Amino acid sequence: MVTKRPRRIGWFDSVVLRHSARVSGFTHLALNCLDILTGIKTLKICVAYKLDGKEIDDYPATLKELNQCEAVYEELPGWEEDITKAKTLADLPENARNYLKRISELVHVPLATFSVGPDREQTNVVEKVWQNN
Amino acid sequence: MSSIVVVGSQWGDEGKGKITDFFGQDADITARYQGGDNAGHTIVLNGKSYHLQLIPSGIFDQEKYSVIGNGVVVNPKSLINEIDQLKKDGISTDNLRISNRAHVIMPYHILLDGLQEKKKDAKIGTTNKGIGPAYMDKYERIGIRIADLIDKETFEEKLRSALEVKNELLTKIYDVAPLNFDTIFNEYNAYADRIRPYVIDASYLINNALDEHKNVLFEGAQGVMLDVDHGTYPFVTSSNPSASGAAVGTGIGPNRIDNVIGVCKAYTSRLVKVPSQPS
Repeated sequence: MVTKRPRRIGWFDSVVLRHSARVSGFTHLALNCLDILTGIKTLKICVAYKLDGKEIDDYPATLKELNQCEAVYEELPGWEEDITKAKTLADLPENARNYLKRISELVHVPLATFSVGPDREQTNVVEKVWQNN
Repeated sequence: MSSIVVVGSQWGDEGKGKITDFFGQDADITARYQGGDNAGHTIVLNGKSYHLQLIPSGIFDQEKYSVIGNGVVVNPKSLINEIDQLKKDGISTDNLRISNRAHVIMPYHILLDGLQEKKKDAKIGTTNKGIGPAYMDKYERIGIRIADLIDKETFEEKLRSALEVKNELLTKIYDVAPLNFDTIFNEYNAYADRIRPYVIDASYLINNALDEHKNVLFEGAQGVMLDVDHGTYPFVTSSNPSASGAAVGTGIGPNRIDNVIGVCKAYTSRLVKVPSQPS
């Protein structure tokens, strides 16, 4: 973070991610800060919004509609284990692996990397992104 | 050739710097394509931390080019400060290249940024760096580009006519003192002399590198949800962080982008000052 202005924190919002993946043509996701979720018993992912009682899949164009939206959540079991030294998906607890898998499914984009801490060594490659090497 | 765009998928604090640095290890060119010194990242190198707001992170490797594309708006004062800071630490900036078509942030842009925000009922949370007003001038066709700045005659002519419009705005609408032509002209001429050695047609450089099968990384600032077209308008930035912005903002065809990496956090965070998300 660069501007150091106050932030509001929420659960992973797959409606936002599907929108940005679509308008930007994501071929891969680089998922950061997985370690921050360690120790939370039940994790939630926002899978859709509800507007006027109906589930919508797209991201509203107006702030008026956005303010009327309600988040629809799915719950996943969390993990307790320290994951900051994980190098591969296999090193992660099953619940962390499932969390990543579900995000990738909901966004319809495969993971390129997942990070378990701020250091360069804590970013792990799942899939190559450079075609040359 | 191989090229990737690294872009934030949320509201710009996803840790793009880290991912850019990570994939940048294999890049021959790192290029910025939008935004200005309202972005930035911290890089830790040999125990010392560097905070760059404008210069892409490729600067630390002399084998690589670090490019500021035409879609970026450049505050020359910030740019020179960054160059000086790097040089002081013994880091060469010989591999820096600046597009001759990038627009220049002028003192009246910075002044107007604050004045315009004050007048708005719903504050958009500007960083007060003159970025939005510089883009306004670009689209109003009264902007000053790097190529104009480094040609003294052209600069004098363009500054004179732009300043006439801006001073009218400052005095008649915002009721503040006008800006002095000579002060700006002299200050910016000195900047021009410092910047000139780095200025090129960046599109040419990048396309040639792709032809030679080099790796090019396009580095997006802010995030897709702050894109002026696709974000949570009007609480957005004044440019296109979305991956398509990389094509226009550096002068390559969209068919030259191989992969687009959306950087995200495992959760959501955004500035408190803007309207809430359902989640």
